[in-house]
Amino acid sequence: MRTAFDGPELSAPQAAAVSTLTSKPFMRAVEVRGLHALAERRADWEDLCRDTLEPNPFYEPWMLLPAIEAFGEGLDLRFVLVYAEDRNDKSAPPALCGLFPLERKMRYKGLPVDSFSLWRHLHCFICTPPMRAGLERECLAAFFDWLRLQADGAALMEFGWINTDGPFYELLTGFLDETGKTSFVSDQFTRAFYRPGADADSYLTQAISKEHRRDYRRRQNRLSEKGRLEYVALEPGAYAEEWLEMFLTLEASGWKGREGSAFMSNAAGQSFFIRAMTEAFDRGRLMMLAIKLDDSFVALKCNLIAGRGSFAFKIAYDEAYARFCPGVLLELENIRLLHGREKIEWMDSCAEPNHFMMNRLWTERRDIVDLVVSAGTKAGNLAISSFPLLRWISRRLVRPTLSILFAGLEVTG
Amino acid sequence: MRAVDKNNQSRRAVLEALAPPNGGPNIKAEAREEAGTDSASARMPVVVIDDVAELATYVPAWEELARTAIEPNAFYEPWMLMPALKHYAEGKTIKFVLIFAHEPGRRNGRGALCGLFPIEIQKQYHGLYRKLPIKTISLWKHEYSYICTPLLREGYARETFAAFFDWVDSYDHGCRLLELRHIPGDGPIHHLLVDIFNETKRPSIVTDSFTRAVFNRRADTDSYMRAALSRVRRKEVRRKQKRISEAGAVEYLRLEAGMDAEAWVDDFLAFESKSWKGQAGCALACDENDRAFFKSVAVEAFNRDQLMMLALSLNGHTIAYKCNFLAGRGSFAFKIAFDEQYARYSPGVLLEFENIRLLHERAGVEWMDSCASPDRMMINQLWPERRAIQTVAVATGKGAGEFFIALIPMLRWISRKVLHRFKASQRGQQALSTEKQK
Repeated sequence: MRTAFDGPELSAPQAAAVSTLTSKPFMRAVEVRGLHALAERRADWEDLCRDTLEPNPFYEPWMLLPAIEAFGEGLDLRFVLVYAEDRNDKSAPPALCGLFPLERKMRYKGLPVDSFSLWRHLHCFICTPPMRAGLERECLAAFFDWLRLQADGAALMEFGWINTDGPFYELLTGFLDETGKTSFVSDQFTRAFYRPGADADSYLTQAISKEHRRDYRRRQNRLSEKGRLEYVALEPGAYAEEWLEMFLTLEASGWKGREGSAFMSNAAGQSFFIRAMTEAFDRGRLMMLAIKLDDSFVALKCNLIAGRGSFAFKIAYDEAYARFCPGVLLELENIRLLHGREKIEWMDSCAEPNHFMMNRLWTERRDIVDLVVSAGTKAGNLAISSFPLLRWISRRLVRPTLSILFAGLEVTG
Repeated sequence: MRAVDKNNQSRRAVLEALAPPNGGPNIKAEAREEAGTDSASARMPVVVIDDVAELATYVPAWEELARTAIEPNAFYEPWMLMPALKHYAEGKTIKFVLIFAHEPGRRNGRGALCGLFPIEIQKQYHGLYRKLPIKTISLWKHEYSYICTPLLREGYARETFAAFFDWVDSYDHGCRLLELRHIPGDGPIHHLLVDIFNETKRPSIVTDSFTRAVFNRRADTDSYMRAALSRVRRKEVRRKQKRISEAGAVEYLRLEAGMDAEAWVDDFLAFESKSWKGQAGCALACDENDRAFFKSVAVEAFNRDQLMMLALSLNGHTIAYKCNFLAGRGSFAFKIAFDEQYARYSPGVLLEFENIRLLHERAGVEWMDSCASPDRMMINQLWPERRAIQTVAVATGKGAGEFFIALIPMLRWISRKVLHRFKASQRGQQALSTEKQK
């Protein structure tokens, strides 16, 4: 049931921008390439993000611009901006109504089909594009018009990692139905999702079995025997840099550091994290909490606030204390804190579908899908229609044959 | 992204090795246990029943299952399904797959009933533009069942679903495809299915999906109205209420315990058959079979406090009726009818408002499924939230079924191309012939 979103709260400036339109606006899609061209339109973009159908911090300027700088190199990135122009008042400035960050690829899942997809970098967990509430339908139609007419001849458009429980997905599927476009859900998975219970205690009692609750209490007691145990939150006005640096250090010391997937593992990741999180903090969008033992950090968690929702962005803990499950203890604290913040109605875990701990602590789930749509060309329609068949051929016929061949080669070799 | 559970893979390999190669003996009412695997689901006894008398012996366990189901479904509760079997199963192969908790100490190793799947075995697959000769298992759906959520016991849902798919893979039924018809596209059962399909890499395809209005209760009626309707619409409703009260004595009635349910049901049937539905031939009373089914189901629902009937009367004449079925925290809007002579007062809308008020009064009912088609203006406006309903086609085992699932989008593409050309050529011929006539 769709209760996560009851429609966006219209903030005054955007609502005004939409309501001043005297008639059905004229929608115009513009394609922009390169970081600088996009950064020039930052003010419009910021305004759009205050009035979106569904908030997505990963596609807001303070997070996407540093991401493009850090991870965009070597990629063919395009940004499609949809503007609404007042038909009657030509002098009025056009209002930005939608922004689609796209990556152009020459292949789609191994097939030689030219495609666009919503850009997802390593640290981006949801790709729902920002669209102005009230003009979302017109905006989507303008985007598909752009897609049909673009000169690149891309046959497919992939909406990867979009959530199905919000108004964007409802709009998209409704639009595809009405316009008879060929589409296909190529992948789908669930991830843990939080929505508050009556209060923190009743949430925890319902979600976690008595034994586990007792176990976590015991671990917390053991940990507090090691020193002065404190749960702390990053307060507005505090010195955020220390927390962010500590986060990077803790993360790099753990399995992510060893695997090479920590922010510190490369300079780009590190500067992205510091820049984006500092901006988030300055805007009051960063929620950081930590466990401290005698003033040193044992575990740190950062969440991003987005409208009435939020995203559990990253968590890190000191592996020297692994036997006390500091990660779980901090997650429990997170649930208690969230129940105290009435404005936050949900949190997306951003976790993998089989994430054992989050799936246990958070009872609800959210669906994430990869939906691929034909750009409207014959090649696109055929590619989408034949994709499942080709995947079947690859899985059942090609791969087994290849593995037999290679096995044979190994034997003879 | 999706790390594959290695245990699961090896379990599947074992199951595939264990599964009989073809057909297998008829397993009517016989528990089939897979020994030698350590998975909980593989040890859950599965019983397949195609005999009504035998099914009746499981009714108490079934009722208990319905009360503990993770997602309630009135249409799959015994009081609704047993009469449906009597009225709508003729000429069909309907079977019931019952899945029990594994309890070695008990007779047959069967503990509590954990899952119930009413299935129809069809010689053809009906999910595409034309019937295809592929034997298919579908969740059973008759004309008056609006959702096919299987009943799964809270706390056992994952294993039970897995056990059901193990049975499906066993190929005892000789079907290449499984069609999960009209199941929810959100909520716990949907999420479970997505997880299971990913873990087991089972190919599936959504062949149909749509949304329909759903009511989710709020703190109270007022806050619901404020969230659902704009100020203009709320004002309009107040005006309607005022206008009807000026026309005479307005009374909202409801069927309560101790009242004569049969009389209410008969009145409703007669009322509905007089409306446009009766004239169009789609009122319940137009068909003796439908009439008998509805009457027995409604009266039975009333006896178990699962029927909610309300009416609106003006000067002693009933001008609108509504009938809902309740099931735990869920409920289903079954029928609504109104007298067109009074259409200017919008009696249907007024009764829907009364319904929203009553639902907020009734403790325990969290949601109501409108069971309406997606384009129903009236209910879509009153209930702004939507639920998604899907039909998912799934391969049974590997091989032909899997291949067919992969082929479906291609078949659709071909049919669209071919049909499009065919229609275009027909149009051309028609144009020619009209020209000739001229």
